[in-house]
Amino acid sequence: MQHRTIHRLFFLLLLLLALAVTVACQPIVTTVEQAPAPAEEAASASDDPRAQTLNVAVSRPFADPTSYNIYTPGFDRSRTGLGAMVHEYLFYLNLETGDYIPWLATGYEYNDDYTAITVNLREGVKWSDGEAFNADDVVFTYQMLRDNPGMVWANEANQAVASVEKIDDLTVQFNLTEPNPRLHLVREAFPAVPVWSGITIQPEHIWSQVDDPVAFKNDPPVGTGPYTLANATESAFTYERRDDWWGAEVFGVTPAPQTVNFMHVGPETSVALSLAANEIDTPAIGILSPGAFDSVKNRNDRVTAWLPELPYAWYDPCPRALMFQHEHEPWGDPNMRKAISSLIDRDQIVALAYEGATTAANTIWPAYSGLQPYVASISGIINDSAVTYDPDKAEALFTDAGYEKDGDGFWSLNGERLAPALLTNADSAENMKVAQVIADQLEAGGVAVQLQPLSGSVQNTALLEGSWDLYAPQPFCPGTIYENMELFHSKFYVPTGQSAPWYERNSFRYQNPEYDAIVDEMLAALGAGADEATLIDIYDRGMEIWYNDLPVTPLVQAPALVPFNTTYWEGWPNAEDPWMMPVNWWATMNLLLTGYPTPDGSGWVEGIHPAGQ
Amino acid sequence: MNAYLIYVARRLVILLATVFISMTVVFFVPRLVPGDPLGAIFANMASVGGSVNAPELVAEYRLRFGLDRPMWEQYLSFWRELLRGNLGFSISNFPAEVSDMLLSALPWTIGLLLVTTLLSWTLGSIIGAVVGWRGRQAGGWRLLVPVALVLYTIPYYILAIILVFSFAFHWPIFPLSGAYSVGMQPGWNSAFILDVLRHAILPALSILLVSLGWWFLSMRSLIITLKGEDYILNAEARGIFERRIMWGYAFRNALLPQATGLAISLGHIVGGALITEVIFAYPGVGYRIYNAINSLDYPLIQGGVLLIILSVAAANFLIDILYPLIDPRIRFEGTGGS
Amino acid sequence: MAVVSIQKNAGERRQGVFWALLRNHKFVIGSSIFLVLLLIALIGGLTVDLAERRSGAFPTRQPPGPEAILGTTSLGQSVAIQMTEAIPNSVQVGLIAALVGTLIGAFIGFTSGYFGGWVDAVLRILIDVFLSVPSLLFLILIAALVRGVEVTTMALIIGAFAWPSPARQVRAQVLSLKERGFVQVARLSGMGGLEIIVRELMPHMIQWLGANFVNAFIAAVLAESGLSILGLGPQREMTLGMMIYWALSFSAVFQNLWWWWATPVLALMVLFLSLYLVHIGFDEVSNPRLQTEI
Repeated sequence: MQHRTIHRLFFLLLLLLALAVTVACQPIVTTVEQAPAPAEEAASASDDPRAQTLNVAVSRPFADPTSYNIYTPGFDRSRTGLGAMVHEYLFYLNLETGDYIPWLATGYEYNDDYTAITVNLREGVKWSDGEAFNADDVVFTYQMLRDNPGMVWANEANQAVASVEKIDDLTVQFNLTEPNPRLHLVREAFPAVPVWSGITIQPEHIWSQVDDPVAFKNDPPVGTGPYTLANATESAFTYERRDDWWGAEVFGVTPAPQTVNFMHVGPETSVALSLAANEIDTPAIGILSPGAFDSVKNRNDRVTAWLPELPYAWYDPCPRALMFQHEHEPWGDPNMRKAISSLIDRDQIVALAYEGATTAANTIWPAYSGLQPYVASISGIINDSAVTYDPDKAEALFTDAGYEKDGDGFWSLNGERLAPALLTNADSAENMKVAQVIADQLEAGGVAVQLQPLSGSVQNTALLEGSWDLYAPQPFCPGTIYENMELFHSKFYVPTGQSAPWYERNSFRYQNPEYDAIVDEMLAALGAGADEATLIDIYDRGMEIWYNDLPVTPLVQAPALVPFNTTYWEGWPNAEDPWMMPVNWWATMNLLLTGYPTPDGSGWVEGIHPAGQ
Repeated sequence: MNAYLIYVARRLVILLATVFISMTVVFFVPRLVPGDPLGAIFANMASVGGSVNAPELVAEYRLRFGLDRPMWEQYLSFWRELLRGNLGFSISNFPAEVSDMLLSALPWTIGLLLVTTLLSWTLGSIIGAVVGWRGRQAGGWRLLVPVALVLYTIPYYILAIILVFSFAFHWPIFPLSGAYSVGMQPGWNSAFILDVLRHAILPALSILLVSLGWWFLSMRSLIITLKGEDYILNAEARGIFERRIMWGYAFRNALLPQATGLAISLGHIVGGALITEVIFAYPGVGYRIYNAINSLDYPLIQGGVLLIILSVAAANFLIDILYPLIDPRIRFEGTGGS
Repeated sequence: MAVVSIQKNAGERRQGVFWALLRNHKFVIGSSIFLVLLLIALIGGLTVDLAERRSGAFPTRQPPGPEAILGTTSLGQSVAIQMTEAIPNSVQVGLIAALVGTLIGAFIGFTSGYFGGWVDAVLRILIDVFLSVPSLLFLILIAALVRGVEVTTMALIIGAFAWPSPARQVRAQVLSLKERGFVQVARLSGMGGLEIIVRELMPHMIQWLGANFVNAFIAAVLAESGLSILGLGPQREMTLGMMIYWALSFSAVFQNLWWWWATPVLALMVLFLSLYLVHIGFDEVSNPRLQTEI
């Protein structure tokens, strides 16, 4: 009797198993016909609301959909799209082409000793409530920042800018605290952006009535941009195009989409499926993995990326590197750093952790065409350095330093095993994958590395205070020549135990006065308007020291895999036609929709347009 | 009656002790961890640019959130504000208030949990009673036992993954995630409600099926145990209809321990639902707390946990004081249950 | 006289429990499945070389085939080899947590029931409080804050929340035994406190403790897999929950790498099922009426 029940039990289990296997083994539908029919012909744009809407998928829901103040710390500057749709900036920097695009302003000029910059504002710019945008708003915004140190970037702005003067309604003068020939590129202090957002000019007629600008909810948000915030919920911020945008008159163009949604559709799988089903047009950075993108492409051939083939991805400005904690022995010794660097197989990291969607890096600068001359000039230095996979070299370096392999095959010095702690950010899937592969590679090379994933504030504190031996992967931003060189300047040095200025800003505690001198020389040269040949020469000398010391070791270029679904919207930038950065998570996104004036001011680079038109 | 009142007082003490101990733990544990809640905000700010360890900025926010005061002072003011009903501001979502954030998330959790729990408890008890009573005569229904066994042993989230894979991905019948379609305006209209229901089916199903299995099995074993009791045999001997005996005698008596089981497992259900919320990106209280923990957002963590502890403890309390009123056999020394 | 007969009965009963368990089909089948699974994993693990465990050791994303019988992951590791690590680790968590929880619980429940009085009053409140607290919530809180744990630490943390249930059960048992006069008789015949505990009360407890232990085991493995899927698990070591976590973070479901997520899911299900059968076995032995036909 009991046998029968047991039999029944197992039969049922087997049935379930069989069901599961059958379900799993079914080939996933791959033909496009299975997906809901895409709008093949020129979508009768006036009829189909979907053809008028641009849907951007973001990585997380919006924790607080009731506050629209870009200056509050808790505000989601990267996902809500407020900085791109509602707000605008004086200038935009197109990283792809290098153009500095005038928008709310028409031009700028430094004085002779770079202690002041005069900006000419554009005529005809209006706020969404009809009031004119002029110098009063700029002056007021900076005064507000001075009075309220709790506002985001108030500190940076106040440190760089001493005061802002109104010369006339359309002219403003920024008086700087010290000579700075690069202020116009510092978005934390000057309202011009290449990326996320930065100092945003707010309407004086509204904000001057506000008691506490930090807690102000700014509902509804008033900006100069072509869209208004129509609706905000936890899962979506919806923007509607407005007819009275100043740019329609002044520039004669309007952005193509009537409605733009920044929405949270769910985890990676949901995003991939929505993209394949034409429900969204593009996801934000970091959501889709290359493998998932591959699957999407197989299901829907109207989904494209920057490159038509692997590595697919566009390069984010911040290449990844492995940092060494110089104040922990033996990582103050350049030979030990080179040994570790030689044990790292960067191509394998690309293949495994990034699924082939990027390339190995041998510098800490992004592979942008504008930076090519610099990188090309140091190719000799790079070849002689220790940034490639060379296990024999590593072995030689260890042995020379007096290390021996113990019974288990791990390097030890005087009986003590070399066991560095590799810290990484457990919240980031990318970090976990890369750190895992690196840990395995180092272990294979005989280094008994201890992987230490931390997260949230704990990780933040540990990273800044330097309580680690190795850290990987760390993005090195902002990716421009001077600024990335400056990260290694000892003026940013603080002892371990105290908070370093930022993650990649010398949290590794590197000090070399010779190198400092070169960096200072570079800054002076930039201020003096030196030509590229001079700059490259300084750069070479700096890199010779850098590669000899190898304070951190480059790992990979940062992939920004951003697919675009061309079913409803076409004209997206790609490798063949790199007219703009393909980003929907930066404030520069509005340029993708409206386009921008050509550098000589005579024409217009067009933005995206409805499919088929 | 006196004994009952003493019993109620005891349960009340337990309720208060539960809340007090839990909140104290929730207060201190995050603060003892080496990490700065402000660090999370600054990391958020910095992820979009700039180094932000400016002393003035840090000082300003420490002041705003009272983080510059000694811990015992923060603890006391925490209770003071709590008794006034003020849960404070969320650090990582400033200026959003904790109460607002929790209130907006609450309906989803209640909807998901309460409905599925009550449904599975009721269905499971009824079916379990029938199968338990009929024994071999239940026929094909007996297959439910191994099914329930398998279902019960699957963790919520595993079943959630399987359901998502099968019914949202492979056969795209149901939505993959979220509580309602994007662009839908929350409101009391049929379109929205239908949309919500459509989105709720998979998460609810994963919780429902697993709990169903458990209630089914436990009711069944209770009924089987009761079947041999003397008063049942007595009733049968007296010729009362079998159906009446089953529902009127056995089922009613089994309901009570089954209800206690519900009370005990409430805490467990809430925890498991948290993971389901994360998998389905369902905007409930559990999802909020999870994110708050990661950013060391003290006030939000405290508020969220308080909400959950209070509801679970209050539910337990209610069941505990109602139970003896229904079952006269209970004596109030508290037999410790079994 | 009384002493001798009691001792003899206790001995017989002890023997009785053990053999009764072995005669119970569900117990036997459940334990066998569990042990077979564990042994396969352990023995398999012994045959594996350290180098084979590293990322890149196998071609990535291969379906089950001759090289890797359960397929490979996106990081180029063999799923089967990962299972030889994951199963023992998950079992280890369950074992340690259940041991810690049951022992602490038994001790507290015992003290509470045996000594009575104010000790009992205080401990009972403590037990009730911890029973009504949603432990997974606090586990998540603690695990999220104490990041970078190892398997043993995780097991201890989980075990710290596992004691209320056994405590309550043991206390109830002790109380009922007290009333049934075992203790009085034993005292009358001159047995000391400790002797009473070991000789008289323990044998009755074995089946209860056994059922509780298995329960705690299941709950612990459940908790660990839940925490791991949320990303709060022992990131440096492989457990069944961590395998699912890695599979999900590489989007295995969408990329149709079913072998990667289905294997640990099935393993968990089989584990739970077998343990539940063992649990039923314990239940039926202590309450023979449950041994009816399904």
